[in-house]
Amino acid sequence: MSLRTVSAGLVLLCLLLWPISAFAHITEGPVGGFGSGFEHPLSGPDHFLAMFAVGIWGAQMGGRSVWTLPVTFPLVMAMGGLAAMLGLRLPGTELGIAVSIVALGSAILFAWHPMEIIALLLISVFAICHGYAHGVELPRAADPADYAVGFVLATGTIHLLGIGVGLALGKPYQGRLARALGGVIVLGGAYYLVLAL
Amino acid sequence: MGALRPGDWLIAGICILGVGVLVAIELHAPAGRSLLEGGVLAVLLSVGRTLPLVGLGVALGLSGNRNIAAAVLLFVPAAILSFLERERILFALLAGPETSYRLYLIDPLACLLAGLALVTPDQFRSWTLPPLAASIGAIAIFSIKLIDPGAGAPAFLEGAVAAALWLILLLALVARRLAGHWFDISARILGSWLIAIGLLLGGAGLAQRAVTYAPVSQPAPSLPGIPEKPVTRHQFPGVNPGAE
Repeated sequence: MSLRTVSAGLVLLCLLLWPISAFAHITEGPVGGFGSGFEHPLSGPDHFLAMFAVGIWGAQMGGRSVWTLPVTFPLVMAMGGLAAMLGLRLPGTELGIAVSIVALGSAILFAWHPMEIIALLLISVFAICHGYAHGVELPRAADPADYAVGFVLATGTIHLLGIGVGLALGKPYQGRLARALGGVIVLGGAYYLVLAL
Repeated sequence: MGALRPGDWLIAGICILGVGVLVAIELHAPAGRSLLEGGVLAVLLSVGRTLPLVGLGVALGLSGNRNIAAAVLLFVPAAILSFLERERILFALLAGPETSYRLYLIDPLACLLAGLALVTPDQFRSWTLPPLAASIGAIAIFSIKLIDPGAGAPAFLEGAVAAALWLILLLALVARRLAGHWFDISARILGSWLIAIGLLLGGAGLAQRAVTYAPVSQPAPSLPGIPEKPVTRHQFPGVNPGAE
């Protein structure tokens, strides 16, 4: 069984095991403006790891994926945010975030290079969860405009950081450093998965 | 890093001039600011109004001269038309009950359009940029007039338009200077961020609608203006009741 098959199987398994319960990096009570929005993806290691992993994975896949993944993620994330703001219920969001970390870390660990459309679909599913978590907070923000700008910029910054790290670690030791980092991300995701379950 | 070109000095000059003016205005006590200064700040310090102009400036910088000319030719008359017809547009927007939330959707719409101008592939940009620039211009002027406290005095609008043109020109020059493979990719990423921000701001505007028009459960006071029991924080969504 090849590494690619194993990694594809792990990612699919993560999606299938997606349970319907909630666990939270959703801030309670009133939130502020730009600072709160910028802080939200950075203060939650779950968000940070997933978005960091998107950047590394895109860099690892190379070609157009270096930018198509980070371009697609915020667009779909905004859809998730919209769903939250319009009051639609999306159960298991926080668990979905934990699953996203494990799945993306696994993809990096096993250097999975799927067709671009599959990678985009996969990160779109995860982006919905992350966007939903942000969107729950947005209407309560003191300044929703500044809050939205803050968290989109923070998300983009983490993606760029991930791309930079992915490109830097992609060549030395045949990319093993990047894959090891993927393993660390999987461990982080497993921790959140256990907490969520 | 390449050597400085003559155009770089122009960019640096325009940037320093604008930033200098902005700092000088900021150093003024808020109470002592003129309407002109207020107009400049209303554009440059407002995320909702600045971001579409940033997107438009970068999109113009990445386009050919013919596209820029077409975009400017449509941008200016659209902005003037929007200014002249602002009251009719406002009445149309607010026609019917419970429509004030629509005013929250104006700036997000401009953000969306600016994002579209950036993410559009190069081969289609020549078709999409001029109408998008016209729409952004019309929306920008309308949005500025909505917050204009001048009541007929043109100073606020003049300051705001000068600030908007400065921002667009500066970013268009910077984008033209940096245009190349990596900058085009960065511009697309910026475009996706603008679309995301536009969608989220629009969603927040729609969410405001739900909050604003939620039915009031309190019984009406027996005498006009005199509530029967004191107003509590529980009546206001988003305020932590545990803080009382």
